[in-house]
Amino acid sequence: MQPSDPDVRLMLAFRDGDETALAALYRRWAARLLRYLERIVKEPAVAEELLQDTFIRVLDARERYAPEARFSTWLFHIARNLACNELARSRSRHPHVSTDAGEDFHGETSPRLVLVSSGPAPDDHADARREHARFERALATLPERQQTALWLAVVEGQSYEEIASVLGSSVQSVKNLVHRARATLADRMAETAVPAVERRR
Amino acid sequence: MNERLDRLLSAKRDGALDTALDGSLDEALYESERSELERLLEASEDARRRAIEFELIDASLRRLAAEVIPEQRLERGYSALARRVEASGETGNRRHLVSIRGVSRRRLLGWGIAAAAALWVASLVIPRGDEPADDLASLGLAEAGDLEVIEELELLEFLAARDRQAEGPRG
Repeated sequence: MQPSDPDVRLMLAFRDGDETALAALYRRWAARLLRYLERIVKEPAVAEELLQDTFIRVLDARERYAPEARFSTWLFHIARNLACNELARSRSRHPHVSTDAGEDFHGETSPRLVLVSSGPAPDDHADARREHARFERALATLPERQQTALWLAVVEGQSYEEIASVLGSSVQSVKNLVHRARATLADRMAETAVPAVERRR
Repeated sequence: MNERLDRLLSAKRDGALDTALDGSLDEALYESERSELERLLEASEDARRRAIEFELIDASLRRLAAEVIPEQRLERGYSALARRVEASGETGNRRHLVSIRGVSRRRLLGWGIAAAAALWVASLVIPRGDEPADDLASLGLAEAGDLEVIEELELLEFLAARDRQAEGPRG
């Protein structure tokens, strides 16, 4: 029986010796992974490096690869683990990173990373741009697990079960994370809406 | 006392509403839950406002995720990946990586669609051989790289055509 996930089939082709299948997988997934990684680590160059690391892990796993889930679930699991390791390293590397109480990427209540705001973008006169930036700032303040859960649910369309597999947690925990992420973002967007209007005056 | 009870009941309703809205947006509601949510939304303006807030969050996130990443940046990333693999000097899994450059996406897409169409026609007219098609080479494509730009549905069509070919003519 053939697996229905086309990416799994490409991965199996790669496992079976088709070297071009990895390039095909990279073509299909690099941009999506990079967008996700940039949200989590917040530095484009670091995200690019993590993207490469992710595919090196795929490369290294080729011979023992066995399709047990959707390919994207496996891929995001790898990428997310690498991103979490990077966040842990950067916590000790960057003293300018401020902390805030919240749930960190291991699901424990502890200080979490929030990059110090760089202030408004130079061209934030346009409403759409300002809203976009405001949303980005609000998103960046969420704990990593909430960001990942919401991103996978909304952007990648993954099921709660698949997200649970990526995060190594339960379905109920994923539901809670997605809910808290949406509720927090909605509240923060509402809170900051008035100052944004005032700033325009 | 009544005021406190009202607050508690209200909080409980809000929690249930948020959970139902999450389930709706994530397509994880049972039919009965969906009906209950629709009833709530019809009855309460606050519920409708909350639903709009949640939908805006998802829309904003999707807009963020739709930002285009330049092709050159991705190709640079792949080249860097290839260099790292070669520099590691390991054998076994880590060989050289084949290039993803040199063939335009548009041309590959054309090949992919043409190949899928040809295979579909072939699957209808060619009787099943002794050796069923079982790999990409047998599909008339030299490399899986030819598939790389075929989007999800096209790729599924392509794979379905391959399966049909492997099964032989119907009837």
